[in-house]
Amino acid sequence: MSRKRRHSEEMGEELNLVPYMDIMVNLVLFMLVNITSFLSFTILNTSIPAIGDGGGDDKSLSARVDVESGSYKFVVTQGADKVLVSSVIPKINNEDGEKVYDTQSLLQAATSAKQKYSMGEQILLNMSAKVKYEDLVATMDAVAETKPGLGDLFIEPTLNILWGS
Amino acid sequence: MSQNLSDQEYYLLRKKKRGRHNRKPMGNEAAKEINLVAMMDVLTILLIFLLKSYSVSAMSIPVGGAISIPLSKQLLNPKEAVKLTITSVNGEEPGVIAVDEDAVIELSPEFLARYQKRLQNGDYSIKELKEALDKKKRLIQAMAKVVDDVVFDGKIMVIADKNTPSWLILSVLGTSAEAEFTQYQLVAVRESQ
Repeated sequence: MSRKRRHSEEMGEELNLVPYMDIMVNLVLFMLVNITSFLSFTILNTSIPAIGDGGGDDKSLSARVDVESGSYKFVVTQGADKVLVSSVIPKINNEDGEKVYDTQSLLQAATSAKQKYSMGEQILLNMSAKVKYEDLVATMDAVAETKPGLGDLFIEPTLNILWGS
Repeated sequence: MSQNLSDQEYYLLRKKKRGRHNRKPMGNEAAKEINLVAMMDVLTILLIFLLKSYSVSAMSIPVGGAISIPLSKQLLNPKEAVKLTITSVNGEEPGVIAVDEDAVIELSPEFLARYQKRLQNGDYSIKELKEALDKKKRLIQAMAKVVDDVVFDGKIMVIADKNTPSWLILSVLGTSAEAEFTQYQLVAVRESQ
């Protein structure tokens, strides 16, 4: 009787970890095989112009960035044709001596326009046809920054194509 | 036998015999005493790390081929949507446009030249892509009738190579709009990585 009790006590002490180990090893291997990359993705919401867009009233403000092959052009207009801000931001040389778009200056222009005028979060991005997708994303990033006191600058970009530049 | 041996010799013989006899059980005990706790710790930590990585990288790129996704500072998480992939147009092999796992169009130089000209004349639509998206829309709508959680919300996720020309992006978005996919999510890699 006492031998039986001693035996059961010993069994109780020795927790069998082997099945648990089996599960863990299998799980780890399964996940290592399935995870193709450790990159985490993000998204940028956007839209394209709808038919009939552009019918705002005469006093409404609208911001626009023309992404041309050699520069940005940041424009704020009131109504159809009253230009309030128009600044051309040429490409600059990066550390490797390559010409790149000056997103910092674009951000400054967008921030000062937002400070000066009461505007919404919409912006029209007119892309030159051959501008790379990478530059499109960088431009969207620059104008969608969040600034203290201003909140998000322009987080609702509408994409359009600019032919002939 | 014990009678012919002295006490000392008898003791040594017994000890030797016991030693021989006990060799096997002692080996088993040593095997039982391997400390699994440290290994368990490592495996548990590894599993938690992998589970976390798995949850953030749940979005996979459905087609093969050369693709390099641009970087972005945005922090929005991708939401479930139809995936539209555009692989590199500058690679050794021609790129493709794919809807989920199915390659729909091969981006040959002739195709690119033809559609760029059409877009210049105001025609956004890419016929083959519209057909594939229409088919996908019908499939989702049919599923929505059977499964409560499925709903057609017009969301589309664009996963494009960073060197894709913007006219092609616009053309793809325009075609998606024709097929009633009007909520666009452009996918990028988080810059903080």
